[in-house]
Amino acid sequence: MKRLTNTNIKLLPFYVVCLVLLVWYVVTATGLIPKFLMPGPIDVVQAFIEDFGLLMTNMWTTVVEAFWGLLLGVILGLLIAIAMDGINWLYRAIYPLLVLSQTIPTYAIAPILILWFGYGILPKVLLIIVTTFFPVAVETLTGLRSADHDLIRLMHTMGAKRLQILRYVKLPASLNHFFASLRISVSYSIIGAVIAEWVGGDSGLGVYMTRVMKTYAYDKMFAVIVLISLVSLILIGLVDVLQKLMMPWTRRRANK
Amino acid sequence: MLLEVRDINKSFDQQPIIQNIDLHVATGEIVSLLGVSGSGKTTLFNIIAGLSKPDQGQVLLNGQNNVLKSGNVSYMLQKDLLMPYRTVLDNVILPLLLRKVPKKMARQKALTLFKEFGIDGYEHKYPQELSGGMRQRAALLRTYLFDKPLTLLDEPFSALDELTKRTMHQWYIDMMHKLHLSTLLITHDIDEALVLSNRVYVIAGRPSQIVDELRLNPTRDASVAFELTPDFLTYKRRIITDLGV
Repeated sequence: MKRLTNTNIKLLPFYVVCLVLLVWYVVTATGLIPKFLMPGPIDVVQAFIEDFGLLMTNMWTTVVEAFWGLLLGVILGLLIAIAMDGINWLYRAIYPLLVLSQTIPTYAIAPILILWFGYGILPKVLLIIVTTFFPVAVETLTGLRSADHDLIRLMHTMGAKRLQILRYVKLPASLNHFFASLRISVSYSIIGAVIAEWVGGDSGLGVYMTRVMKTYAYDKMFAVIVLISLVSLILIGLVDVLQKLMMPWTRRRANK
Repeated sequence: MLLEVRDINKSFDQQPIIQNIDLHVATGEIVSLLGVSGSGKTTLFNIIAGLSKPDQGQVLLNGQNNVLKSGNVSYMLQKDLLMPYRTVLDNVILPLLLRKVPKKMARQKALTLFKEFGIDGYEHKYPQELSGGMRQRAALLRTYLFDKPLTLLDEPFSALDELTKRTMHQWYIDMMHKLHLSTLLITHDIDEALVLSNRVYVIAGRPSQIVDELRLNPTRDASVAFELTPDFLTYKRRIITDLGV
């Protein structure tokens, strides 16, 4: 068998996507699956163009909610990680609770948050904080603890204080872990916003979704799903760019 | 006396590790502490550096008690411990930053020393782009910028290949004289101890004690490599007997 060249391997996912689109087009266009159950790709694109303005307005709401929720969730996660790394009894006290907090399904608390804090942005932001702080806290904590012990010892011999060790050794050592968790939290933030909007709200992609669902406009439903994926992908891409900017040394080659 | 260690004892879990350790280092000397791995040399170093407390005994630095007082001696380990996320320049200025020297001033001060340490041109590279010998030079510059009268070296050259190691030995002796450093060196390498030192303490036994002290002839003929002289072999035979290996 002929081996795939490098460029071909890179393009492989692209081919797969094309194939899926083609199959999708064929089964819908031939009427194998009736249109009212599943719109074809072209219908989805048309719906997207038709409702473009509306989609953009709603997307803006969702992105703003996700931004604030993510920002606060990441800050909270970092603070928890740093506190748990620095204070051992706090680690023992909080860690089980932290894990427990993740067993609560987001769907279940969304209505309660709406009930308590109304239809505005606050319950959405709170829900996103709850879903995004955990990966950041746990991963960053692992990163902080992975710092080289000999390096910390060397810093002690130089008379370094705790905060200096945190700044010069532990935080840089945890950057890789932090960005891995940020990538997860970014997609959680969009999903969290959409779920909160399902339960109650005036605008946002989740609100738009429930509306088009009630009118059985499945083409628009698919359009908004694609849009949500796109937004998540773009945000994850932004995290990658940010990581490259903040970790310039990873691009230098090792001397061998 | 720059460093005086008097009657140090230390146990872990009731198991004595080092016993009745007496040693001293005068200003300008290179003194080696030679022993097999696991003989408690690093334990002793941690005590001298003020990182751990002896069960008994005194550590005097310039006549001042240094037990559990870190930050008064420079310490360099076998691993270069350069931070992969900082450039070489930003690595070596670390001790200055810890002392709250402004970054700009610290960089200026360090930049004047790169040539002397033989790593000029590597200022803005990352450590992983340097060879082992170069990284050790950078680590020594960082140690030097910590600017303490006594430098503790914990097997600093043992990870290097044989040829690089020889170059580094000669280079270190030159640097010592130029910069007026005083050094206490831990090693398990007999040749290294003899080539580098003015005096050698041999540590052996269980618990470890100092079993011998060698004063090497200070008026060595520099034109003949010391390792090739009969004196060298005499010293080496004596150390091998001391260690019982």
